[in-house]
Amino acid sequence: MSGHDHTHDHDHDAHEPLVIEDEAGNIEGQILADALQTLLVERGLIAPGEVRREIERIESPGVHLGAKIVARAWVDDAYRERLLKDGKSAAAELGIGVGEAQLIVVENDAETHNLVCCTLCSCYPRSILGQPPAWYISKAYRARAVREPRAVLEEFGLAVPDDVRLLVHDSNADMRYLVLPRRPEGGEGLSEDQLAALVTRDCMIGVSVVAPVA
Amino acid sequence: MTRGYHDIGGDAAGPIPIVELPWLHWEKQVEAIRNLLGDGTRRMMSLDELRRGFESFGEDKYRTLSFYRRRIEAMIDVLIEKEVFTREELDAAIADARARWEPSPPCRS
Repeated sequence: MSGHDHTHDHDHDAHEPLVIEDEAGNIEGQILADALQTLLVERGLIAPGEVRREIERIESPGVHLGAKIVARAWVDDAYRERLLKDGKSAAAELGIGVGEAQLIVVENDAETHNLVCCTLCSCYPRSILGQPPAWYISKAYRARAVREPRAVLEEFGLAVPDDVRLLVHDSNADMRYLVLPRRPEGGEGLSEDQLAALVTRDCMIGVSVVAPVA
Repeated sequence: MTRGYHDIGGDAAGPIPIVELPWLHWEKQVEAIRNLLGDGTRRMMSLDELRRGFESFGEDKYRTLSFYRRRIEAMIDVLIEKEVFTREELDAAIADARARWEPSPPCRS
């Protein structure tokens, strides 16, 4: 299809700020959420206390889980192969449950850099990285990552050389992606835990790379 | 080919707003409630149903609401559609919740 034959208008300025609530909007959001929760508890669809327990559950995953997977892949080639073949099972080997969807792990190497986005909404490997950052769900990132990924990466301070192939992965409700970054130079003597400490969220989304070890 | 207003991959857009924002309590509530309603025992709100909600409630609403407002508004629409509660019942619950947030009237001496 041609680039711009969709029906909705685009005469508004191309600059799209992040839509965030002001203080009044956040109070309104809180009132709405409380009202909804009260109704669902009254209807017996949600037990009292269940929302609080679910919040604890969704707050607990974090970048450390993804970092653990990456570090294991760096030190164990057989694990790396299993991870690239079936991300969900390989995560489960380390006791990390990926409940929401399939997990596809894509590996960076000298010839290829990978970048993850979700153009339609906000799909993200939440069970291994936690909630997505605000910019990941911004209109600008969703719109531009698939069209001009090199320009997007430059805004993140990452220059991908022209001779490196750049692959962009558009996540969806059934498939989540995780980037396996390149093992940093100078990290040969480090333990698996020390390596895991070097792995950041942004490296696993693909907007950054793991810095060389000094 | 007609594209939905949520289908923005490839559109022109300004610089990426590279910011980290705190995850607020009500936003966590929205995620938690959706997860609970969509779990294996309840099966009342799949991600696809949630997305259908905000991908069909109109472009103006979609563009002006924040991410979690979009999600809670969509969830409410779907639950009303499923006759879990009525709009009037929700409005009453909102009025109760609002009363808990609004400051008490000043004392009259």
